Amino acid sequence: MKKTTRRGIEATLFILPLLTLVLFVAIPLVQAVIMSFSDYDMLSGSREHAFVGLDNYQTVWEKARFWKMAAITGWYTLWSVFGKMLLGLIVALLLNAKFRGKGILRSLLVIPWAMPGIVVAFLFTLFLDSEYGVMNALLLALKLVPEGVPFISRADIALPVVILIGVWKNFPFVALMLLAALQNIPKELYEAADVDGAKPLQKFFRITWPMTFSVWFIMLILQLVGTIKEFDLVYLVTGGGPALATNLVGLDIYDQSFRFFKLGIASAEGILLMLLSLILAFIYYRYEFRKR
Amino acid sequence: MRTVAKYAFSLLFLFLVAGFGFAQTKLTVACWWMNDPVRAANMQTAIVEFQKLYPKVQVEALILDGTKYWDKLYLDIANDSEADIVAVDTGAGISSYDQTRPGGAFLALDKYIKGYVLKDGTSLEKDILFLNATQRSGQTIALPFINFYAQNTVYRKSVLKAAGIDPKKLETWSGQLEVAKALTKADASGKRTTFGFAHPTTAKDVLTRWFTMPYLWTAGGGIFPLEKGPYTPDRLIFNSKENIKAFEYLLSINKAAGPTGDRRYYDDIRPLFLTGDVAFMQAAIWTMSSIETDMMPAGAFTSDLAFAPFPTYDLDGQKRAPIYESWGNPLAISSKSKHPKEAFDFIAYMHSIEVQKREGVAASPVNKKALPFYNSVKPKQGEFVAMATKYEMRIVPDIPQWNEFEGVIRQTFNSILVGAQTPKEALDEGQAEMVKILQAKKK
Repeated sequence: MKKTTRRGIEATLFILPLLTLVLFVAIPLVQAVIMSFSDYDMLSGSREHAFVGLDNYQTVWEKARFWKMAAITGWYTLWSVFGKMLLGLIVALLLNAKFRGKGILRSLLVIPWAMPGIVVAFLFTLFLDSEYGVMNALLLALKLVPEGVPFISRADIALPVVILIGVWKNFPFVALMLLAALQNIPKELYEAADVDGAKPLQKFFRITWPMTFSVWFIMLILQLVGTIKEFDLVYLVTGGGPALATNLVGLDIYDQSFRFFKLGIASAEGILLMLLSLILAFIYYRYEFRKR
Repeated sequence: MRTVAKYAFSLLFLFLVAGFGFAQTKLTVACWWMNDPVRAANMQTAIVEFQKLYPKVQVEALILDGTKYWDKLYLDIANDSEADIVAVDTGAGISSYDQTRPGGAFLALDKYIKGYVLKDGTSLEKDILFLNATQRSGQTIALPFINFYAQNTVYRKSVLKAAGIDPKKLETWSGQLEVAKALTKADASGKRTTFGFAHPTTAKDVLTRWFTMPYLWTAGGGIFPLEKGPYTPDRLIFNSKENIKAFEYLLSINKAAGPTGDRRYYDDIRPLFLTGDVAFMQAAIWTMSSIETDMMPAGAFTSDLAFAPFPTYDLDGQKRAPIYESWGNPLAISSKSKHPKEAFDFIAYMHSIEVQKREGVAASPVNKKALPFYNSVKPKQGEFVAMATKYEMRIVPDIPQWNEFEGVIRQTFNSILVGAQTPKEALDEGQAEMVKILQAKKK
């Protein structure tokens, strides 16, 4: 093969990732931005999608429901990520200890995370049913409640319930990542600490935490970005109800796009959510940059 | 010579293939029920019969996911790629689909309907029921195909007899409340073992809306007065005191006799009625097929099942006759169809007595001439329809913004029925959202 031809093939292969990025990220993104500035209502009866400037953003801004949804999304993200990070850390520390059956427990840990969202949603819907659910049967047997609690239908507890379901499903991923980080800490450090008479808490704050913090922080940012656009689990468990108590922005984007076909409004909401994610991503990159 | 013969045969073959292709008119039909094996088989039979009458027309029924059908129909119309013939729904906004395309997505059928008589003597003008349900701006944009009626009260004769209750009591709101309380049973711990009555509550299921609307209408409320236009924000009555009253009643009967406040699908309640765990409930004509096959014990459908009309409103010293909900699945022809005449011949054939008789498995035929047969082979269903048709029938407003309205209505009903909000709070919020939706469209 001629040297020039080979170089040409090599160059093309190097360009492929860029092409993929352009095709599957840049073009849809630009399209979404354009749509967010257009009157893109598929049911309007018009095939023209006129440029409407910031009208869609203004509509979103003025929607009382949007701010309620944004607040719910904020609470959902905050508590969900807090739960996942805390539980993930605790479980990782426990699984890093030496005991029999550790291997089996580590394998079992993956199950909730590996389960499809639809299965988790169905399981919890049955588990928490006020009439036939195991949870209520237990609570009633222990006489902790006078009658079955409609966990998913009470506006005041539906959000904490879906947060707990989300934490249950996703904390194993955090735990596994942190476990991997814990196993990379040189044993000598702990041995030296033992020689110096360090107590368990001192060992945790002086060795474990600093040595795993960067992984924990990356997980934190990834979880924040992932949770802020949560959709499937909440949609399947509560559908955003009752009384819109669990209506996340992600659910409204779905409704605007695929139920009402108002793609302009949906794109504007999507772009706003993306900007929020970008801020988080920016914090992450700043941290990485400083570290280097 | 061999070469000449080879070319001659090739040309002949091409000519035959091309000729066959040109001679055939291809039509596609899209219906949401094609993943129901019985109804899909009915459609295939109808297609075979039709093609015998019209050998040059080839009809293909598209198999679509029934749950995605309605959204896909919107998108297909928006992309000008819908089937030649599509099933629509009078209870879910034909206009919103029609107006998705400038100038209308569906063909006006009046000129085709006029004077059209099928070989079995069916006159489309005279023998098809509910033709006025598919008229928009003075034009018929779809031909009613099958019709549903909701809702009568279904109960077991034996249960009422054993409790010494006169079934007539089920004919009023206050009577139903009284009967529901009397038939509710609980164990020693107070946990209900038999529910006097149950009503769907979930926002995810359109049936919650279907089974709730007659309560609002009968109480004197609804979405717009009589659900008639003009559909302007100032005419909304969604937060009217009549609607509040209807919900207060539903909450009281649910609290006194129903399952606890958790979300309930209609399909959660139906099995409870079939096993006898729910004493009475509201039912639509299409519910009859599952009651017929699954009601326990065997034979109870014919010997024990009975109907009472939807109850008359009798609270606060007032009396209001029941208002039923009626909807159907008419067939429409795409305005983009290249073969409208043939497409109409096909939907006309779908109204022949034979096809209509077979469709009785799902709902009530719209061909008057098929009704006697339907009533003879399905006497219970016939009884159900006869009872329902005595009363005023209403459908939800057919507005282009129906999809968004439906979202608000479902969330509102769910919030009230599970007790997340008071009827007033939820209806006020819902009405405010509806005003915004109508105003946004105006802009």
